[in-house]
Amino acid sequence: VTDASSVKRRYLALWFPFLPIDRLRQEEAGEAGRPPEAPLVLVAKQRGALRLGAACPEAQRLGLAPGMTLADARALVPDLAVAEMDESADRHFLKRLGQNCIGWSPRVSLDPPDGTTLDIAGVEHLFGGERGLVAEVEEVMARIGLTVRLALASTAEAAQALARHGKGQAGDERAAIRALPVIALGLDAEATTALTRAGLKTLGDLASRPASALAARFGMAAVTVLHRLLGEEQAPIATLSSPEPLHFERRFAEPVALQSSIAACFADLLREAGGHMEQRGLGARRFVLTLFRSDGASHRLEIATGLATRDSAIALRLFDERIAALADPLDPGFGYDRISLFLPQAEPLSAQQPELDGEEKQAAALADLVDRLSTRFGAGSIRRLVPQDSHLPEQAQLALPAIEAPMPVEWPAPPEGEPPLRPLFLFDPPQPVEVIAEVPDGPPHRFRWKRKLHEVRLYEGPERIAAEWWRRKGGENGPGEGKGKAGLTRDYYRVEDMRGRRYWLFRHGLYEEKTAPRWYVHGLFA
Amino acid sequence: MRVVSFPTRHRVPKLEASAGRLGLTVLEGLVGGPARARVHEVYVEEAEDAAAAGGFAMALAAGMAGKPHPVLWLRSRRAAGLGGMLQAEGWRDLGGRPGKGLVSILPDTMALLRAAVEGLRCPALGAVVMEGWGRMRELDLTASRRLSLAAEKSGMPLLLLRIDPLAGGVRAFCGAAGQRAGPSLFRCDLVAPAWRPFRPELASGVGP
Repeated sequence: VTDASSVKRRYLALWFPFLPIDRLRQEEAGEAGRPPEAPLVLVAKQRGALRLGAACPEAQRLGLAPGMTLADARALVPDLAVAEMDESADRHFLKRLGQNCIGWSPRVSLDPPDGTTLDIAGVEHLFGGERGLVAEVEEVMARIGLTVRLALASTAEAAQALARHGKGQAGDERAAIRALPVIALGLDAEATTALTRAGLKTLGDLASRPASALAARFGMAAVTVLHRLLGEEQAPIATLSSPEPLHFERRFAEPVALQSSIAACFADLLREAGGHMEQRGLGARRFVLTLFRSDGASHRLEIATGLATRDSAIALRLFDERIAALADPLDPGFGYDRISLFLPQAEPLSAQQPELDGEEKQAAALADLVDRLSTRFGAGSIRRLVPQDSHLPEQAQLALPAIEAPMPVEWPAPPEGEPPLRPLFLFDPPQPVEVIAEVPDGPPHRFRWKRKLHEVRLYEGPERIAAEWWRRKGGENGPGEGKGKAGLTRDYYRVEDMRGRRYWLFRHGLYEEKTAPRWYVHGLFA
Repeated sequence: MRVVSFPTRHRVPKLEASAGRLGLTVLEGLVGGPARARVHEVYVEEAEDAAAAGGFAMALAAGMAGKPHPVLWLRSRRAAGLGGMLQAEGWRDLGGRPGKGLVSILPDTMALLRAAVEGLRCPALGAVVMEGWGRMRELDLTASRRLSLAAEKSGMPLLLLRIDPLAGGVRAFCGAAGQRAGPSLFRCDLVAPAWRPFRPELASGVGP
């Protein structure tokens, strides 16, 4: 019988010292937010005051530390960028990081709020030893913009303590652990102070005393933690569960090049996947089919559906679309020796009712159309218009890919008895017009657009639309170029020319804001 | 060929598009027959009328689709660039239901035609509008036949919006009108290049 404790365990601890900051920066990377060079702190309400929950390295260099009140921090660093702390988002982020770490080791546990531990016993040789694994983890984390500290040890606790409190991995692991400060025990502040007052500064100092004295003063828990840190005792770890991936493949003894055999293999794989998903109550939203050619080349085909499905007929039809839309057709060459199907995105899907009533059938037919068009022409080619909460006309609607917004939305009803207030077609950006015979408070009598002169016969307006001054720095000082930076107000007119065509014109800027405001046509009415 | 008489002009009075008034019944009144399951073409007089023609097609499609069924609006990338982006509020003002509808922006005419056939085959839709700018060389006789067959088969109307003022020659819808002794008479609806539809009576040959 093999003694379980005789297996040499190794743990790799990852500590993200700036997890909330890094997460926020990563989320804001896409949009134009605050300038990245300003020191950033995150605040949360604690004990009746806004206190710093996290501070970026730049802010910490300037003397800011978590726990400080925001007022004190602002006094030290006036141009501070401040954002709200979001603990649940951080928790989700850490969980997702942990899930992704399963790629390195199947046994991953989380150390909230900002660490994960990987059990790497028996997997490190896949990455070229411990050093290779550490280098790879560091490289991946740097690529996604996360600050990380790594440490290796023979227990999970020791690895985490070394990552958080260690002074670099120099020489002997045992000596490094013994040199850790007593704060690594994780006792409360009072107990830590008591230990340092007694002259016990490192774990080595503690380990050299009899355990009974420590237990008498600080409880048995302290002794257990010490034993675990020193590697004398293994604690069980709670690992993240990793669901079995939906991955199916066929290998052929002889390469297959015949169109009909390949098609039969597709159908077979999809049927098998469908059966598996039915057992687990899942439906897939994305299907990835990879064809491995015998000369080493591989083709990857990917389809996505708006609603989760496990119907092999639907997936097969979409793959047909995908293949038909390829720029250069699939070339089997000397044949494929392996075909694999991977379903990266699966969602719960309850058992299907065989009898569908009319409405559900309609929804399914529409989803099918959306999937086909998205597969053939790209997800962005078919869109649904969704209202946005903005009074700026160019931002009042969002055209979402229909595959991501499968449900219809309701637009508010128009005001009764009014001619249309908003145009049918909108130009973004607005097109400049040349104005002739301008009057101070009204639309021009004549304007030239696309080299044609239009005589204004009727008009309605102005409808005054202010810029979003609350989004701009210094915008609260009011509009106008000289006074503040709120942006220019627009005066919109609905005008009709002699031929009966209707235009939506606006003057960019009031006369008091700008000396010679420009005119634009923003839209066309039907 | 000798024109015998110019009777009344065949011109539709001004149509008003508000909340579903323009629809199947109007079109059926105009064409004198069932208007679903057909391909209808809407041309512009001049390129500046693109928005008006778009609104007409939109109102017509909304009326034809009715309440429960969505409209699929197919546009080319060129249309979105030249004609502006389709606005849900304007769509709604014309009696449509933009929240249910789908807008598709496609790279070229071939893609438009293919998507139109796909759309016509989908039983959940109420109407398909295809907006094409310019000559659309790919829309040849085969393609238009394919579209009308697809429309006939599914019973769905397709509105073909052609923003191409140069597309005109004379279009004549002809029939026999021999009610009098004399030269042979035709009954004829002409849509002339100047875009003045009229219905003259024409006579050909030299009478006794």
